[in-house]
Amino acid sequence: MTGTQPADVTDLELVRLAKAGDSEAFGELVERNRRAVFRAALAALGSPAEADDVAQEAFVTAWRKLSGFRGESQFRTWLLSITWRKAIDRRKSVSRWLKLSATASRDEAGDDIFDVIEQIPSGERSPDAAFESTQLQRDIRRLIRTLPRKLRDALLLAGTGEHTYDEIGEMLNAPVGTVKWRVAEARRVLKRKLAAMGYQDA
Amino acid sequence: MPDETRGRLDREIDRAVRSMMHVDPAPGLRTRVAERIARDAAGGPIRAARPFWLTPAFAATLVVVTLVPAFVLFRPAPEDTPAARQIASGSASADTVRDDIVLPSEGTPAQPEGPRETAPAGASSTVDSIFGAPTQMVSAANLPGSAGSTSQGQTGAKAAPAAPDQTVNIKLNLTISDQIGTGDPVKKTLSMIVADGQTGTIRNTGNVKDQGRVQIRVEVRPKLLPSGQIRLALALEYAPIAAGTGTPVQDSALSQQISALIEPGKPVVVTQSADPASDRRIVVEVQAAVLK
Repeated sequence: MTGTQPADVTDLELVRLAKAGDSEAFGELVERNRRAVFRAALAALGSPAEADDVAQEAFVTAWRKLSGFRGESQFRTWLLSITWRKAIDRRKSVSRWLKLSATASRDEAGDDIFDVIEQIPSGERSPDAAFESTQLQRDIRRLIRTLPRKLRDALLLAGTGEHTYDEIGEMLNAPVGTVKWRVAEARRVLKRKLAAMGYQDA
Repeated sequence: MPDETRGRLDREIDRAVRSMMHVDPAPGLRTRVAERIARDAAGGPIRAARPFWLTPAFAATLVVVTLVPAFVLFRPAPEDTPAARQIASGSASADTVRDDIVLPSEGTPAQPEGPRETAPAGASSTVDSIFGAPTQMVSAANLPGSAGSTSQGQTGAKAAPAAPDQTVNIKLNLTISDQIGTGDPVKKTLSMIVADGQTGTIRNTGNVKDQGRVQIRVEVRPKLLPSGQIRLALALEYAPIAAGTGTPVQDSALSQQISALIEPGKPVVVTQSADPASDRRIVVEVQAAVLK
């Protein structure tokens, strides 16, 4: 099967074709899942560059292990599990730790997305309100970095807009109820800290 | 949950998470994956060979070689400084009551000289020290002419961890000069040695010549500044009591809280108060010295 895959072709059909050696079919799977895979890795690593690298590794691993995919779960769920494991391996890797340590003095997080400062559109806000909102956004990002990893992972994965709670549960190897609790708890912790910093929930 | 029913912080958290996570991969991911797969199929390494200095084994060795000697070299020494030893030995008697004097905070500006709020000894304000948890001190007192009971010692029962700046002791001499009319002033001197940044207290009751029983309560906290000056927080209650009656001399009781900068070795009059009801005059002079 060659050429652009029609949208109504299911992932399982594409997997079957890819197993048969159709690289275009696998390319379509990459295209369909690239954002979900990339954002899952981004949630774990915080760095777009690292997330891109891990996403590539995850797709290559999926290609190599495609013959072992039995179709017992959705391809996307299986792919995301591979991605998450790769991302966590990267997060725990000694070389990454060394690299981050080496760049820490220059820039605490390099191109870490957690440090990217959003450009707040001025809109109808007054300069004071815009400044406060910008500061608040900075503080929230900083506080998110300080969350326990379990809470932070759940919160960020839930915020990607690409993953269902079921998928997040598969990635984190946790029941859906636990994932939801972690997300809610992360928000509670953040709000408590923000309130302690003087931000009001009005 | 409808957005309008959520609090502001919820909305801001959502916004922050979105801005962090709604990022797309760089264009060409599909091509990059295809190239990797092609390299893999050709038997080449999926990733460029790691330099040896990024291999886990080398990295782990580097960590061990770096951190172990650093830990051994920079491990904090046990508390063996003279000040620490002195304070440690002094803490055994930390049972002196010190719950009735409030000290000015370090940021409190020095109050102007002059008459202060007077309060009888028995009705002195019962408040905790605003220095927070009381810490150890070393103190000594001298009350010429007195022959009464003396209570002095550590500040409080709760011993805070030793501050890292306890490297020197500071000796403080407080002279209270009490003069009635044109008569000779009666001077009372209190000396105490307090570790830098720590709190010391003295409580004294005694019989003073020509004045009968007096009560003196002093709480100090000196802090040696980088400039060489000493920032002194001082709380003082001085309440002469009419001889033989046990009745406080209401119009002569003195209660002061002071924060002042002092040059080591130079006596400074920190307060000079005139009694509003009589011609009594009370002057408090402080001299501080850093003990090397």
